[in-house]
Amino acid sequence: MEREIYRSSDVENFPKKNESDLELGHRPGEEIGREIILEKKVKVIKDFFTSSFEEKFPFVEILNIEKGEEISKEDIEDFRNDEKERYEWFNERDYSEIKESFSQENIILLQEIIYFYTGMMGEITEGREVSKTIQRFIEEKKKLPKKFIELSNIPWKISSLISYYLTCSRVFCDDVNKEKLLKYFGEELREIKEENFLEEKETEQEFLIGGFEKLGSLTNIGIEFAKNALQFIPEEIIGKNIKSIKYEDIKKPLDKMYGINGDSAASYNPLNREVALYKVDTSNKGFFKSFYRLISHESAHSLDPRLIPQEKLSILEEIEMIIDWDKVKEEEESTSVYVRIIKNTDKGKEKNLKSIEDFAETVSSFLITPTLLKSKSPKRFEFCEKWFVRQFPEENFTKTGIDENGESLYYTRTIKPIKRHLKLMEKIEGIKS
Amino acid sequence: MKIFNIKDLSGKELGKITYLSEEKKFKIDFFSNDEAEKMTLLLEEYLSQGIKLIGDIYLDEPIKPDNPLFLSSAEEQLSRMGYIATYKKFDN
Repeated sequence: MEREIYRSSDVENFPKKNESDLELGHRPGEEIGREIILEKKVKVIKDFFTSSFEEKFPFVEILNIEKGEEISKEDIEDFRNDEKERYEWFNERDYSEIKESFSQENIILLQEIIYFYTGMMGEITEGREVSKTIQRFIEEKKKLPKKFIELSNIPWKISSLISYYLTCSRVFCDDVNKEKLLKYFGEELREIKEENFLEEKETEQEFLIGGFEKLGSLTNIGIEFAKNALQFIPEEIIGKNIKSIKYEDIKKPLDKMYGINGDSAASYNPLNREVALYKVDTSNKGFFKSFYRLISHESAHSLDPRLIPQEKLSILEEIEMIIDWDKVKEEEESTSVYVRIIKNTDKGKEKNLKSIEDFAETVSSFLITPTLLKSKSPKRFEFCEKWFVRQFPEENFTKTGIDENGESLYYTRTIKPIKRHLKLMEKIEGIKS
Repeated sequence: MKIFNIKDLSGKELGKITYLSEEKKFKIDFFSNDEAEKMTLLLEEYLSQGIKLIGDIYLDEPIKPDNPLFLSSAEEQLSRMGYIATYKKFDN
């Protein structure tokens, strides 16, 4: 089958007219010139993280002029300001670790992820119905090799950032190139599925727990605590989305963007897939027992990369979940207190933060107290039911218990995987329960 | 006054908690003395120290009984402790 190959890594060349031989990247399995292309990709991505906004988006003005359209300076300025705001939103995140972590292997995988997301965003750019497009891509995503899905969870910030970057360039692409790009992404996805070239044999990996000995003399938190906490987390998450849990005897100030005075009690790092718990106030004995809920909250954050922001918002809209955060006031009891008190002068950021934290609180509640979630917020419960079945089709969710209306109440999960992980945990060093 | 039925995670009914909003007090009525003692300690801590952990953050200023979010926070905390607190009746 003949097809044209384009190159997106050369961003400065990409949108120009009459360059039909641009190459987007290597074809799966194609070894010739792979190293050179790879080096270019590494350079482009590294440059992206180190360049200024003006350097990143020079085409905003140039392309419109090249297309011969009459666009006023005000329009361009408005656009640049809008884009700059979005760019700054991304840029507030700490990418310093990411910048240094680009191995060649990661770049190849990242490229595939970018193709995937960019294809989705491209369809949206084309003006297709957003919810249907996203739904279709979710279905597509489910068919992709497991390794792809797993890897797409790690650098979600990178992928969403770069896909946004590439999409920006595509918006100003002429129709011929747009068509070619869509065709390319479609073929790329098909090839990924057909060749299954990213599929790898699953290997058992150690699940690490560390640092809890520091709490040993003050609390009963230790390996037993971790075991109990893990019982609530689906097998698909443990060992894949989360590879370690550690306690750090330090205070970690909360990001100012939350508008809350306080310290982080826990966090999830998508780069090393680690959940960290931070210094506890030992005078407050009550919440020691609640530590396991923190694990489930952070587990939910580990699921977050499965949804890019646009995807998440679309799903929330789809199920008519609460998206009008202005309505989430003090008296709105179905939303957690944490989500209710998040404030930011930028309403867009506030909405995004609330959305992220509400997702974490909802999933956490679903994993530990599904009955309570169902009674407090039936819509969120319904959302979780659909979402989990879609995300974890192989997970053994069994309903037990019947309520007065004959509906199932509780969810139990398969015990076997948990046992496997507990066995793995026996290898863990420095844990004294 | 607000009354909550309290169950454990397995669905076993443990008793009920009544919050007397004017007096800012909890009244505990549990089937098991051991469970009642645990719950008493827990709620006394909420009343005296306030609720410090919400979501995955520690608040600099805990949510105390005079905060309108106190009862919601207490409910959430109970669920974090492995209890299911189901609202039963509101009469004030």
